[in-house]
Amino acid sequence: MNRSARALSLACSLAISCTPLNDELDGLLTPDAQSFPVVADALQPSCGTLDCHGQIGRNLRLFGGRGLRLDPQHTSAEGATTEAEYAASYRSLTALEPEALDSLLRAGGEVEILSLLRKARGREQHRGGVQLLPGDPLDRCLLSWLAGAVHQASCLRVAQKPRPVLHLP
Amino acid sequence: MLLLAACTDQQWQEHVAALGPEQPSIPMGPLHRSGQPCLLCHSPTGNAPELLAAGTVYRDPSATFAAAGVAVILIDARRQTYVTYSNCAGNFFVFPSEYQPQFPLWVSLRYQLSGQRVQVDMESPMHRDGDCGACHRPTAGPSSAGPVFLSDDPARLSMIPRSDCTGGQQ
Repeated sequence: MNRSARALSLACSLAISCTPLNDELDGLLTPDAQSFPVVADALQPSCGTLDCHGQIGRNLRLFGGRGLRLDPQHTSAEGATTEAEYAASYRSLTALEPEALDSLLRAGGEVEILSLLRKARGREQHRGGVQLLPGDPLDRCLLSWLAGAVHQASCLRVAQKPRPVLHLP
Repeated sequence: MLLLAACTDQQWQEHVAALGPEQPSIPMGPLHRSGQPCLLCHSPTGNAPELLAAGTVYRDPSATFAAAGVAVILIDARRQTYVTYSNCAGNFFVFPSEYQPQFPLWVSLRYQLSGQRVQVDMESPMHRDGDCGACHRPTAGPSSAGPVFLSDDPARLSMIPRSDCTGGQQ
């Protein structure tokens, strides 16, 4: 069992059960929608900025208070992420590869069956480069959510990560 | 592959055309096309000298007056910094030969106000390139953070000089 599979297996074993927290849409399992906002907040600074997946033309389209806004009256300069934006990001993420996602949630296995993980980990061509490494907080946040028991502390750690401190006179 | 290249080129041409022509009074150079997405042309696939990062700093959110002499501080994933300054049109730019950052790239602005140093930090980092104007368009909107500006505080703005430099030839 490789590291990715071990991580998902561990996340599953920490939860009472993986599947009851998942949602089902058109017969295909999708990860829990209710706990997605904390995951979306973690994805926002690494993936959802306006220069990356905060763009309407992307397959993975992430909305957020400081990124792409769903309501044309809102701006990227102010406001918090709305419920509708969390829902839109959830639909975009879960609709990327619905069959692969369903297979992973039902049977477990290699998480890099998802291009989301392959690209973010730099295993596949990704203009935005490597955004997470197996075992780091964003990785744990995503894997734990996929396993049905989101690890809030990991997600919050990424979402609230401070910017680098300037050491200039 | 040829078809893909042709599509990409046409898309690029449409983006450039949407920016409009050069202003006749402003020669092509460091003072031209304030507020526009510089790297559209100043990139390896563009038709102008390549820039690593570039943009325009304004005095306030209305983007009416440029802010000159503002320190634009870039800090990369390895915590390596580079400082450049906005010119009288508010434009700043960094050549690839000057700085080779590892993305993501964070940006801060620094300026003097009544002898005090004021710093403005960009909230989110840049991951793909340093094209500030691509996300910071002249007005804020659902896919724009609005212009890069120093302050929206009237008390503070009253102390910040206006640069009415347009880059035009005398």
